[in-house]
Amino acid sequence: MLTPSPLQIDLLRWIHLIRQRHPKLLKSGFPGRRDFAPLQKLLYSSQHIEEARLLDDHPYLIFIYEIAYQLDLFQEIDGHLYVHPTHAHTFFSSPLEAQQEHILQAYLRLVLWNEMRFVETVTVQLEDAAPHPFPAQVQIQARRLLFEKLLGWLEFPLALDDILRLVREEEPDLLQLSARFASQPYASIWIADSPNKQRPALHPRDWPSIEGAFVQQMLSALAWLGLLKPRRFEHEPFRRQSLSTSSPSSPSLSSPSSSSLPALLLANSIHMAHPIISEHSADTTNSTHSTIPAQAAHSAQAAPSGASLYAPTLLVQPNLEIIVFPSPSVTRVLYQLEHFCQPTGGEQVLQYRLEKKAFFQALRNGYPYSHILRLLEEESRIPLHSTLRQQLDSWYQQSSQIVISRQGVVIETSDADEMNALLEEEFTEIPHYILDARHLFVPAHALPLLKQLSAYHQAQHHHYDQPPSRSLHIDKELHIRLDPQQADLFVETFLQKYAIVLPDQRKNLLFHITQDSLQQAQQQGFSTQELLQFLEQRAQIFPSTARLRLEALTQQIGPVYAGQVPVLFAQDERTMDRLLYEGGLGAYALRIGPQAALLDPNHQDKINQILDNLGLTFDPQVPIAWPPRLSSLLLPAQNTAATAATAATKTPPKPKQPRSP
Amino acid sequence: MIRFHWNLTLLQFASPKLAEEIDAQCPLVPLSQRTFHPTSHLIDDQQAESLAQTLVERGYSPRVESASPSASTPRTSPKPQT
Repeated sequence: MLTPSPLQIDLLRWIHLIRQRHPKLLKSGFPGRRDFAPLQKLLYSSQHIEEARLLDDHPYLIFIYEIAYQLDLFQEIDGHLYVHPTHAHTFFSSPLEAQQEHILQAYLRLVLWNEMRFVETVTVQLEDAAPHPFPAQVQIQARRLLFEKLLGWLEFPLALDDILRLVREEEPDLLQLSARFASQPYASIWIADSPNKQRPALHPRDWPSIEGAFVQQMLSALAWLGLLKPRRFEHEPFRRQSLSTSSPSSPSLSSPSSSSLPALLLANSIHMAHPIISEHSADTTNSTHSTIPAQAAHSAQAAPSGASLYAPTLLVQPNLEIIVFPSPSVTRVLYQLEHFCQPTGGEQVLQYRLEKKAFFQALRNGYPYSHILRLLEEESRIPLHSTLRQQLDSWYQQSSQIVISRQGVVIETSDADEMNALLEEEFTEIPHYILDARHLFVPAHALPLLKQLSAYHQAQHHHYDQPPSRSLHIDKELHIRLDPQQADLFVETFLQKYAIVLPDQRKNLLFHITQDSLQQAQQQGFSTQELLQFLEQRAQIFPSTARLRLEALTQQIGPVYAGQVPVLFAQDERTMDRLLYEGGLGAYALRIGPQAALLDPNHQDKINQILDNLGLTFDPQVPIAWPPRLSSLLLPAQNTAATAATAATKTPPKPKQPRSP
Repeated sequence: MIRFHWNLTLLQFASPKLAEEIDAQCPLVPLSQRTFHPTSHLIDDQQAESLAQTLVERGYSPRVESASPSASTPRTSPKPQT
């Protein structure tokens, strides 16, 4: 098999679109119109999607979307769709027959696809908790059952009416409505005979509109899969996707008629899929739609036809146009090609164009230039023209003005001499960038070559996808000493933002975080949280006093007050309660414990007056024993005289406790 | 002693002038984790995609090099087809 079905091409186009746009998923769970509308120009099978506002407005669009989802060709990351590169690559690189089989199996178990969803003439009106007449599981069973039947029936062409008659005879309860709803199989189903007129469905009279419509929808899906195709009549030009007319407004769904569709033929193998390039494409007299350029047709005829020889898939022309020929690996080549080329259509032959925008996007997505050249050189039927090569080289040079080289390795030497020796002896063949006298960078694609280095096994290895090593010694004064053998490459740069570098025997290895250095860092927008996190990750020990100091310097600790405020102690909690609430001191005091309260120095007169009224004297000049005997105050039974040393020199007599009876 | 620092991402400009031009539009200081030269900066790999996007929006065409170009070196098999 050399030619994929239109649906396989359209799957490639979906993936192409997802790779280009990373569509955002809306609340509906599908990409929005802005993201899927460009498919209009990309889809290989002719579809009119202009009127589709939502993805699931259009049966074919949602069908291939769900198939691609079921095949795991894309994935959702943070609400956007991304190609699942390994899955997509593996899928499109597998033999075409295997892809078709995967697609068929995906369809037969597709839970999110509902054949009855697009039958506009049938609606469901459920009462309360009544079960749905068309649950997904039943549809999957019906799909599998009908597919098995069709395999037997369609060895020879059959008219649609014949298929419907056979289904009605052999599997009348295809959707299990009679089995599940007993005497009222169509209880919740309504039929629209006209746009504004609905009526309850009648069993079995409306079988063609319900089960019959399901059968037609499934036949459409099989036609999309390339498994079913209309028989080609002599006087009826072959029309691609003639079965895909099952749009929601299709009248044939409610009144199936053999005249609306040609006879059907189920391919007993997948060999009958639509060709990328028609078997008759070179014979333009039989095709009114052939767009194959004369040069391509000539090249196709001239191409080696021996079955044992691998015929390259592409004709890469000097004008940057690319023509695709049938080949067993055509989808693998197309999957690669769509990374850096723009599809330009083609009715019977696929065409692409090398465009600067797509080329730059491929390089931005990490697709290497070497792979582009290799694919074009290996898959082109003619050698790459020098002008084309020059054009590609020119684009590549433009894109090399700014390079982001991901997941590579920095090699660091002790000094410049060691680096020079390394470069001369070991790096003659390994791609690298020299960063400075002691550092060089090896891009990720060259990493396998590093294991050949004699230095590889003796070197110290730091892995930056793991937590950093603890290379900092911090004292409580926020002096930071760096262990050069353990430090990662970011430490010095980071600390220079927040600390001053102190002169030390080992240059640049002693830092000091001061209030000034922190203020400067904060003014430049550096975050204290980032500094704390950095030190926590890299300090061998981060002393709590150093942390406290750092937090205080960066005002992470709120303002504190250390000064003189009168304090009131009482011999017990109850006495303090009475002084505050009965005596009226509560308005001028801040209680700080069961037996202690701070007194407001601004209302000293009021406080004195209250205390005087209670017969207590308050003399701030009386020396207080320090520390106040708080422990004894907490145990008033053992210390009745403790309050003598406090501001309140007298306490009211302890009230008499009522006697218990 | 030679040290290998694995899994690092480098942002590199063709010239100091270009680096200066980019810095004026999209400050490099917050991005750069280590600067070896005005044209060579180690950056956080998680910033790589958004940086590339920002540069494209500013009219530049950055190239990205990565370990395993998705299209050529599959690492896992597809979802099992049950």
